[in-house]
Amino acid sequence: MQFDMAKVRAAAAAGAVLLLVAACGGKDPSAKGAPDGDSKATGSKGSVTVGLLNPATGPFAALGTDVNAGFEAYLKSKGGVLSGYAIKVAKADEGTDAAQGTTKARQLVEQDKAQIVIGLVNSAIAYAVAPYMEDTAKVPLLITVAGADGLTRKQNGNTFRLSYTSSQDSMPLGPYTCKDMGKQKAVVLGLDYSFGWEAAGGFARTYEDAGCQVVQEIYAPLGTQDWGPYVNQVKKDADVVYVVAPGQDGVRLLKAYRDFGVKLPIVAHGATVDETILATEGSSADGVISSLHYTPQIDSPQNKALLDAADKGGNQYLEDGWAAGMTLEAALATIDSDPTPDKIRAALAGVKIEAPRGPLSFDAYGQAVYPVYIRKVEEKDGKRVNSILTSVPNVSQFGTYDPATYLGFPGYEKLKGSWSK
Amino acid sequence: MRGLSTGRLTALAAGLAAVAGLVLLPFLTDSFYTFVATRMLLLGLFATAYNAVFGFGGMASLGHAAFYGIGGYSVGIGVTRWDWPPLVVLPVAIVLGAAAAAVFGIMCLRVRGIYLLLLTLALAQAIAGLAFYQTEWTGGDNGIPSISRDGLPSAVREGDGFYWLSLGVVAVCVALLWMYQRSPLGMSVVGVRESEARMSATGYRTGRLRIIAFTVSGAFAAVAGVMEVYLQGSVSTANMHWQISAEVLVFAILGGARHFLGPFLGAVMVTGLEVWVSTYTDRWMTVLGIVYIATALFLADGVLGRAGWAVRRAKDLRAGPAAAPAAAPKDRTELPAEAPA
Repeated sequence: MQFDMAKVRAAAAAGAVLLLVAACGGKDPSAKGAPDGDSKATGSKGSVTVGLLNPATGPFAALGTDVNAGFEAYLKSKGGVLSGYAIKVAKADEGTDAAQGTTKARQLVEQDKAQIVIGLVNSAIAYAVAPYMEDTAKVPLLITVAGADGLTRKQNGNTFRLSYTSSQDSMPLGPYTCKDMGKQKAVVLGLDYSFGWEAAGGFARTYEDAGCQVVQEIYAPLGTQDWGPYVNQVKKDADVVYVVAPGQDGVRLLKAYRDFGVKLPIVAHGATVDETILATEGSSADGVISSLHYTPQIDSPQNKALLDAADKGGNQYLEDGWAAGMTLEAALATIDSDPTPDKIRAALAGVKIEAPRGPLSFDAYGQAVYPVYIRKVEEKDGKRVNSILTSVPNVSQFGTYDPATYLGFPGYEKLKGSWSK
Repeated sequence: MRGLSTGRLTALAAGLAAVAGLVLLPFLTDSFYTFVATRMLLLGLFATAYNAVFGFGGMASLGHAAFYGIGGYSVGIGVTRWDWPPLVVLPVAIVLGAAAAAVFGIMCLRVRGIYLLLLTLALAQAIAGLAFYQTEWTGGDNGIPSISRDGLPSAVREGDGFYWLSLGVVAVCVALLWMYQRSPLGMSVVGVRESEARMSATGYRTGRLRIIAFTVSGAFAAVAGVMEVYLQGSVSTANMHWQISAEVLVFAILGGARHFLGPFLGAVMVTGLEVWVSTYTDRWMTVLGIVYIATALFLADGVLGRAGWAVRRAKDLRAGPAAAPAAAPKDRTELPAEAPA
């Protein structure tokens, strides 16, 4: 059979054009300008341009979408106006590498004239963007997900972070596991990259300082498909296993853990069983005790407002975006006119809000201080939820340690493997 | 002024205008586009360096991210640990990039085509693995942030100044690559691409030529990596990611791997498209994907290849209808030797 090459090519071209049109159809209505319906919002004090820099592509796209949705839901609930300023939103895709991330940060600041940039999920990109914002752009950066401990280590900088440092949320779990649960010997099972080492390190440090022993550390590469060989190594004479594996790694780890019949109870970093993957994990997550600064189970009017606005149920990323909206509102409330980046920076440092997660403020390094919840996965109304066992108020990035002492400790990437020795 | 025909004068004028445009660019656009233009130049250099192996050497490497990344980490580690000035960083990066590339070339002596592609990919992934796990040196997946440009003269440290510095470095490197490509050495590498058997029968040591092609390419790829990290102020495993290798391959094919400036053009086009489309839609990757597919379908000889074909065809048509059929065979799209299918 003979094909006419010209026709085949014409058909292929037509197909490509159709795909192209379909692709462009995905343009978010609020990619430029305020969210739907509020584009004509006017503020009594003027307007502020907010750059939202979250991933729309790559493995973290779902998280980025949630943060954006949380921020925009809060904005919408306020009619597009925060503290008298009409909020113009300029959105950009953080992408998957630092080159793309910094390019977009520059575009937001230099072309869209953003007076504050909110977002960032990937820590490597955050590390690249933060110095640009600090030294060149001099525009405040409010990080909503990226967790690397080192991002908020400078006093009076213009980097602020609402979400956890990787070790922050795991620090209250150490004493809880050792003293309240009475588990004396722990195995650490986690992912072999910065977040894994820092989260595990925060747990291990506080756990050992509470008087208990980490007896074994097992780290597996990011994206491990078969967790069998790792869960099989777990020492059977330990009392508890600390797990840190967010995303699909967590799903596969818990499944392997149950399949191989390991009987030890699990304590975990909250991201291992957060609401974005809890439904997928199903019964394998039952009984897991974890620590995180948020759970949709929090019973407060602030959290109810978030859950009512988000039609899909809450999760930590939606709350991060929502809290970013509240934070900005509180900062702008103290600025009477002409909200320059410098004024916004100064105002952010003094922000104290009642977020869905609870009382929130920033320490001298720009890192949020907030309550951390010890939660347990349970079935409730046919759905798995993280119900609250107890909460620890005012957890800072330094836990209960003195900042100067804490900053003197070697980095967690150096301590990895040394906890069990 | 004998020897300067009208055509040559036009070319000279166009060249001068292009140079003037490049030099004056910071005055014509805002700071963001100057930044984008700087990236275009650096990626253009990377693509031109890559083409010494791909288009002219006939070896489809998928491992060039390693050399680019080695350049980047030389800056990151050298500057943050020992405060190396650029005049130390650059030679070190060139030597390291060239050495790594030579190793790649030696390892790939006995493989061709798809196997060479896979082997270079594997080698580059091994180096990327080192960057990921040697956190003591590389900062692991978080990379090395806050790399200072203080070692640079203050006139070229920021924005426009850095653009001119990049323009100068890229101009020198591209000129050197041009001279290499036109030299007997560069020509014999092209000979190996065309027929390795014939070259070795004539007495050339083809294996050595292949290693040389890799070494030259790796050295200049490292320079591009150095400048990119000075520009970004940070380096991470993303600088060694295999996608960088794939992107540079696309740059070369899109622009035209048989033409010296083709890959440069490809890099400029893709980078520009990326920035432009992603401003308007979150699905910019889909658009880029379609461009890549369209390139493979219709532009296997690249934009410059197509343009050359159009010019030839126009000439043939002008020469008269009798000559027109002669244009027909040139319609065939020519893939660079051993390009991946």
